[in-house]
Amino acid sequence: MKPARGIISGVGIVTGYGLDPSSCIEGLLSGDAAPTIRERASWPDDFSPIRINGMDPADVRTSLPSSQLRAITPESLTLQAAARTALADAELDLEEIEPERIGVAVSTQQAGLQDYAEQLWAGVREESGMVSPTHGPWTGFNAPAGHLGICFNTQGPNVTALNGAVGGIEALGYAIDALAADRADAMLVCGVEVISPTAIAALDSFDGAWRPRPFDRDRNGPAYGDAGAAILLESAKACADRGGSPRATVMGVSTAHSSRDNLEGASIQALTGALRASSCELEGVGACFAGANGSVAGDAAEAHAIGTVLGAEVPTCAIKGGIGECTAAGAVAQAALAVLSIERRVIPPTPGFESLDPTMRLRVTNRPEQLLRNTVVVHAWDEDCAAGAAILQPYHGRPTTE
Amino acid sequence: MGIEASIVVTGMGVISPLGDTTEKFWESVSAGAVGIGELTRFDTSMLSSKRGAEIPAQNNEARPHQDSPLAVQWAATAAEQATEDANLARTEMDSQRVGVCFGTVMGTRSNVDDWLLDEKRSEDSAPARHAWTVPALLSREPARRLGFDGPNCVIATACAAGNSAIAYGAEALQHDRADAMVVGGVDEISQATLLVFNSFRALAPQWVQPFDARRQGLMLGEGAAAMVLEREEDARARGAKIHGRVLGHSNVGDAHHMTAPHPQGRGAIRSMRQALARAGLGPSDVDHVNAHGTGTPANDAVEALAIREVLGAWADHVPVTALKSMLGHAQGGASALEAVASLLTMRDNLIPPTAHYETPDPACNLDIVAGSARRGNIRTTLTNAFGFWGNIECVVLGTA
Repeated sequence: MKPARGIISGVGIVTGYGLDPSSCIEGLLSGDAAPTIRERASWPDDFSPIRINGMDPADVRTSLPSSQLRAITPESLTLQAAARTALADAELDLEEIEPERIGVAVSTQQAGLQDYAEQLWAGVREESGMVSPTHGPWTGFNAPAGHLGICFNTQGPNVTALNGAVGGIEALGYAIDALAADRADAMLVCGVEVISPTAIAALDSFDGAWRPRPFDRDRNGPAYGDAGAAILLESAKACADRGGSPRATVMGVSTAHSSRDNLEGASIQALTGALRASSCELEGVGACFAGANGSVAGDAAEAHAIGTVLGAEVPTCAIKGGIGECTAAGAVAQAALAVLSIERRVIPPTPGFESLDPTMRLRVTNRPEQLLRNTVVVHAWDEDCAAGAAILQPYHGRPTTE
Repeated sequence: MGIEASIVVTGMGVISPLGDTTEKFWESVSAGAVGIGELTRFDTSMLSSKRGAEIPAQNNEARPHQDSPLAVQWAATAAEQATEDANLARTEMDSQRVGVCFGTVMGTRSNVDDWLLDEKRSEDSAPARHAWTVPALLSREPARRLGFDGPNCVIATACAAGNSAIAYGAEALQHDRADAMVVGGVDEISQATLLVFNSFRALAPQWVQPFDARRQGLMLGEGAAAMVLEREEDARARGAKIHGRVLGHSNVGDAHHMTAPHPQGRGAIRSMRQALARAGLGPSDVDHVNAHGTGTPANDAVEALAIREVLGAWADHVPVTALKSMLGHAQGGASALEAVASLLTMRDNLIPPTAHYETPDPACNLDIVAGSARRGNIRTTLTNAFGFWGNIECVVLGTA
């Protein structure tokens, strides 16, 4: 079977580092965590707040046209900002593409949760049974993807994947399949997560300062972040036909889930599967963008998997040390940053990392390093023992219309 | 590009208001039974309609694994049934080559309801993180119980989600990412969702009457349906029973409105046409349409228009049924339940009736099966699913 691939022509990232990809990569290269850490209160009760790293929605609003701002949730706001940046980055004018030939694939986990809770609260507490009909549809997981489709008039495939931190890889795989099957010429692959105040009661609070320490010997758990990320994926022909500039190629993806609570096994399966799908040589792997977030067990499992499949010497960075655990947005953010890394030929350091856990055999970046080989691996995982991997390379050769 | 490898259905499982096994479900549906009644799990005093299609409480109590949300339990049970039906024993296949994908509207969020409404709630009593912030559990838990380590995802394309999960599974098999996929849809009725639809004034007071001139809206339902999909060559090699085929599918975005369909059925027409084209079929190959048919004035009119546009004059020869008249709108579970019913329709050449269809609507000029089930030679079924935010997924199913 001919390998299914996709061309990345634009990226957009909204994190605590800022509203654009340059801010994010520059921030990571500095080695510092994103500066926008604030407390988010729980709702409706005064339970322990948690610290979130992410852009203030008010700041995200400023980046969008006012016509897009009515009755919009924080997650849709963030997704809009990332998607618009990706389209601008790709220099794609939506007027130049047939609406039926561009689609959307979004990864999320909490989209709509806050609206869901508030609708319930209002309807029951006020005993009227009436909640605002304009807010009801925003309770859906698919609201950000659907809203994006309406705003951009994308009439191609539109799907929302709920696969936790692996969802972005899932969305990427869906998009690649859509391009390969000629169901679309372009797909916006996105991830978005804004931590819902209602969910705070159910999330583990992070004691002490917001400082996740991926792979570090003294790590003591993840910390949370809001994020949005978008990648414009195109077929090679479509990109060439419109005079687009290919930035990188997604060579293959794979996802896995362990039914036996074996995260390391799932990660090995995903990494191996992605490499096999990509037909890329292991010797060509120059970096790994890991999903490590400071979790004691999770980081260890990932480290062992990376060491097993890629080897202990592949430079590995974990961006969640800088942006926090942003669950369903993480993998697309990792992939977007991998594109920037490929272009700049530099691998960012891992914010928060100082000393490697002695049980791990891994080369974790603690300063910017040169990217010496072309293949970059993106690996994502979550605590439910799901894992996913994507293989990226620079775009090789001239775009062709064939 | 159509579906290249032939994808077949080798197992089915159902948890529904009309039966907690596939055969009980089919016996009721084909007889025109209606699973709609007074809602018992919630305070409905403030709602315009107190009715819906609930799974009976005794069936809930009989479910194993009582420590997880209802939707998770039902997904797992339906998956177990389908796997058993497919004779897909735990060790028969490489576990890394068997995956699970369920579609849903609300995921596991109903757990939020009980907690938020509990006056004594605390951080300690908050549902475990898994329960309400990890909708992926709907596919991961069935995989965990069945020992499947292959592709695993939950798809949320609103009320099209069940069909989207079927499409996901078919694609995974097409691209050789799996040898078998357990796919389906699931949702439970939640109080918040009732409030949302109540706010739209979209709830019918007494019955759901799709395509009827006097239709007044929908009613919420719940349940789960699961199917095992395999490549035909693999299924035959292991001697599996084949229930039917997935011939084509198409996902499009209507890109029109957050709740209303495009008035000319733009997305619906395209999805149906593409699904048929990918199946290598034309309008005259369609023997039956299992409609989305919610019973709302807007949806049914637009769907009827779209079916007419796609099938043309052939529409006069195509019997249409709408099972939400019996099952309510099971949200993410709806199109999966309807897909199972479509497969059984083709197995038995028996089209279930649309319950309470009494007065034809000139704006819905279709051959609606009404009164009692109708016999026919049904080899190909087009099953439609349309969701909020313009998510549309139509699937073409074929006989075994």
